[in-house]
Amino acid sequence: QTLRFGSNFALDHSSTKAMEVFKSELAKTDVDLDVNLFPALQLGGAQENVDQVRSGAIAGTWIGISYLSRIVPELEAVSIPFAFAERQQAFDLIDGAVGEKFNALLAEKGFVALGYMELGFRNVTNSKRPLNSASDFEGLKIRLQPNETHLATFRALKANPISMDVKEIYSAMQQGVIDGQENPYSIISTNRFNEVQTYLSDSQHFYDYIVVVVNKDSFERLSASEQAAVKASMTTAINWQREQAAADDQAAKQALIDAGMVFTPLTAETRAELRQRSSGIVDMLKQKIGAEIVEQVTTELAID
Amino acid sequence: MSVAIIIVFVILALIGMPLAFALGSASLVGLFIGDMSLSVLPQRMMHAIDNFPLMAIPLFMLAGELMVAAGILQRLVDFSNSLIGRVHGGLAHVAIIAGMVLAAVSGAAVASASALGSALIPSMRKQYDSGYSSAVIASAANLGAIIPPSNAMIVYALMAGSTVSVGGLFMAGVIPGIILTVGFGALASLIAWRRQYPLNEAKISLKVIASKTVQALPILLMPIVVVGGIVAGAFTPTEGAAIAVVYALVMGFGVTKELKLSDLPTAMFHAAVTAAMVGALIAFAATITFAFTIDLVPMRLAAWIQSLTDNPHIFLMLVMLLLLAVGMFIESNAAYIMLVPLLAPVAQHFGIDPLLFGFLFVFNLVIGMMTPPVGVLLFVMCGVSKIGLNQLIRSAWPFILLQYVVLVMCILFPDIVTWLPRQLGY
Amino acid sequence: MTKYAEPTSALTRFSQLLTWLDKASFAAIVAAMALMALLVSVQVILRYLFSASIDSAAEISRLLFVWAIFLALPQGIARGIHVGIDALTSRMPKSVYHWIWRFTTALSLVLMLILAWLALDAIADKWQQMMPTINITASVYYFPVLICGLHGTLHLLLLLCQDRPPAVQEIIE
Ligand code: NA
Ligand code: NA
Repeated sequence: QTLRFGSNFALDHSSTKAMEVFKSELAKTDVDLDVNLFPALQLGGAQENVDQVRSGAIAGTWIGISYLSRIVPELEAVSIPFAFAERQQAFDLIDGAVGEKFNALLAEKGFVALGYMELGFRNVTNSKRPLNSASDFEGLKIRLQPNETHLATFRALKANPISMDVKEIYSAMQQGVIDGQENPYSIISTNRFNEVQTYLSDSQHFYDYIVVVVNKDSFERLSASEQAAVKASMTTAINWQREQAAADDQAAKQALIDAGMVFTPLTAETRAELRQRSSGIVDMLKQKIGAEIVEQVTTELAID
Repeated sequence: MSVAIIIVFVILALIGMPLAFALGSASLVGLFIGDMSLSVLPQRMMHAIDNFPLMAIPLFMLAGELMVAAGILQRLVDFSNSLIGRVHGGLAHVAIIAGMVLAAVSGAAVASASALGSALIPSMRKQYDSGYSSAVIASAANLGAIIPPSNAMIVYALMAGSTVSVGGLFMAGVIPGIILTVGFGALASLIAWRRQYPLNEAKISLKVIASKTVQALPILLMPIVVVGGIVAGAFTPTEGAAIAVVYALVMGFGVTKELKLSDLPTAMFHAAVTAAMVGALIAFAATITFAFTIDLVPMRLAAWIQSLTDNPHIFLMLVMLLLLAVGMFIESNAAYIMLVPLLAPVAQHFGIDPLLFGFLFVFNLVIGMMTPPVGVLLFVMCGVSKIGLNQLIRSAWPFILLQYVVLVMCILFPDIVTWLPRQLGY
Repeated sequence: MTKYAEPTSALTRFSQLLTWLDKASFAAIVAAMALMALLVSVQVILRYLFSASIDSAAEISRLLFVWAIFLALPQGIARGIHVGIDALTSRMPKSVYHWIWRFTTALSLVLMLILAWLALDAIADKWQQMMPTINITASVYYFPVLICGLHGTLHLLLLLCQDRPPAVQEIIE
C-alpha cells in the first residue's frame, strides 16, 4: 500500500526533508507501507491539499496550521500576538494539553494529526526605520497574510496592514508601494527580500506551526502495527525537523545580516509594550473561537 | 491509471469529441480505474480556475473586444496606411503594421485575426486575391501571441510553475516579434512585386502622417502603459489586463466616442465565453495532470528522456520536433497544459535557460496555430474570408516557412530571445 | 444526409426554457465580469493613489472569475465552439459521423451530469468551512460548478433532441 502526501513546501524546506526522513524511517520498519511525497505544489495548492486529504484522494499533507483554521477555528488560539518568547515554549504548548485538544477537534473533522513541526517565528522587515520602540510600528505599510487576527494585530499597533499575493511582495517593496512585510527569516532569505529592504527585526510577533495530517478513515484502516510504525517514524522525523528548522532559522538570519540588512533586536520592555498594545486581540479571539481554549493557552503561557 | 487515461483520451479525441470533454471523460475513467476518489475532478477543476494570474486572459480578451467596438482598430489601420500604404503590397504592410501594434495591446492571436480580418479583408480583396490577403492577416495575427502581452505566455508560465516569470517571457518575445514583423513585410513586398500588384494612389504626405499619428497616439501609448507597467513590476499581468480594459473604456467613451454603453454586456459575455473555452481545457486537464503525477509519470518521462540523450542540444531538437508535430494536430492551449508540466522540469535539468525554453515552446506552438490540418487561425480566416482551406494554405506556406526560419534562428542565436529580458534583470 | 427530427411542441418548450436560462446566465456572467474588472482595477488605483487595499479584493475577484468561467462554459457548448479534432471525422461517411456525434454528445452529457453530482457533494462537504477573509461558506466556489454541470447537461440534451450535428468546419474554432 502507498501513502501519498502532498504539500506546498519547497523541495529544500526542512519540512520536506523531514518527510524524507519519515519515508526512510518507515522503510526500516517491518510494515509493508510505501510513501510517495509530492511537495512543491505538485498536487495543487495548500487549500486543495486539505480538500484532497479530507476526501481521501491522498493520504496526508504537511501544511501551515493556518490553512486548517477555517475548518477548526480553535487552531487560531495559538495566534495570540507576542505570546512566545522562545521556540521551546511553542513546542511544550503544542505537545501538551492544547495540542491534545487540537487533535481531538481535528479528528471530529476527519483528520488525524501526526504531529507538529516548526514553520517559525514571523519577523517584520521594512525600508523606513529600525524598529526600536513600539511607536516605530505606527504608520508602516506592511504586507500581511489574509488572516483576520494578523490584520487586527497590526491595526492595533497602528500600522497600516496591506494584503497582497506573495508573488507581488518583492516588486511592491521595490516600488515603495509597501514599506515592509513579515515572515520567518528563512522565507525572507529565499525570497531575497533583503535586496529591497533595509531593516530587520526579531519582532517574533507570531509563531507558526506546520501540522502533518492524514485522512482519519484511511489511517484507521491500517493495522495497529502499521499505525504504530507510522506514528513512531513521524515522531523521529518531527524531532529531526525541529532541530533542523532552528539551525536553518539561525543561518538565514545571519545570511540576511551578512547581506547588509540592519538588524535591531527588540528590548524586553518594547516587547512588553507591543504585547500590551495588542492585548485586545485576546478578547477578539475569545469572542471568535470561544473563551475556553484561548484561556487554556494564556494560562499555560502565563500571559496576563 | 495513466495508460487508461491516454488510451481513452486518444480514442475520444480522434472521433471528434470536443477536447475538453475528451480530457474530462478520460480523467473520470482514470480515477475510477485507479480507485481514486472521484471528488478529485470538481476539486481540481475549481482550483485550476481559482487562480489570480489566469484572470488576465478574459481581461485581455475584454480589452480587445472593447477596442474593436470603440473604433480604435480603424484608427490603427488609418495610421498604418498613412505610413506605408504607398509601398509595394501597401495594404499588406498596413495589415502587418496594424497587426504588430494590435499585438502589443492584445493577448490573443485568434482575437487579432478576426478583428484585423473583418477590418481589412474587404478592401484587400479589391487589390489582391483572397488567399494572399488571408495569409497576410493570419501571419499578422500570429504576432499577437509573440509580441507582449500574450495569453499563450501567461498559460505557459502558469504551467511551468515558478521557474519563469510572465514578465520575462513577455520581454523574450519582443525582438523575435520585431524580426517577424520585418520578415513578413519583406515577404509581402516580394510577393506583391512578383505578382505585379498595383500601388496605392495616395501619395505619402507628412501632413497626413502627422494627423493620423496624432489620432492614433493614445493607442500607440497603450502598450507602453500596460506592458511597460507589467515589465517594470508596477503591476501584475492580471492588473495590467484590467488597466487595459479601463484604458479601452476611456478611449472608447472619451476619445473616439464610438463606444456605446450597450456594447459593454456583449463584449464582456464574448470575453467570458472565449476564456471559458481555454478554461474548460485547463480545468479538465488539471485532473489528468493530477493522475499522471500520482503515477509518477513526469519523473519517469524525465528519466526516460535523460536515458536517450545527455546532450541539451539534442534534447531541445527532440522537443522542437515533437512540438512541430503536436502543433499540427493539437489545439495549442491543450498542448501547453499537457506538455509544459512534463517537459519544463526536464529542460531545467538539462541546464537549458528556462526563458529560452519557454519562449521556443510558445513560438513553436504559435506557428502551429497556422499549420494544417488543425490550425485555429486558418479556420478563423476561412470563416472571415469565406474561402477554402486549400486555397488559404497555398498562399500561407511561405509565411509559415518564414516563421520556422525565425524559430531556427532563435535556437542558433539564443541571444535574440534572452538578451532583452536579461538586460531588464529577469 | 440524415433527416432532422421534427420539432415537437415539447421540444419547443424545452428550447424556450433554455433560452430563458441562457438569458439569466448571460446577466450573471456580465455582472461577474464587470465586478471582477472593477475590483482588480480599483485595487491598483487604491494602492498607488491612496496606499490602501481591500483585504478581500483578491479573493472576491477570483471567486467572480470562477463564477464567470463556469457559467460561460455551457454557453460555449450551446454555440458549438469547443475545440476538437476533425482529421478523421471529416473523411467519414455522413451517417457514421452522425452516429459518432450522437455517441460523443451523449458521453459529454453523462460527464456533465456526473460533474453536477460531484459538485453537489463538494458543496455539502465545504458547507461549514468559511472563506479565508470573508465570513461566508467556502462552498460558494462550487455553486458555479454545479450550475455548469446542470446547464451543460440541458444544452447537450437539447442538441441530442434536435439531433443535428454541426457541419465539420464549425466544430473547430
Ligand atoms: Na500580444
Ligand atoms: Na496546426
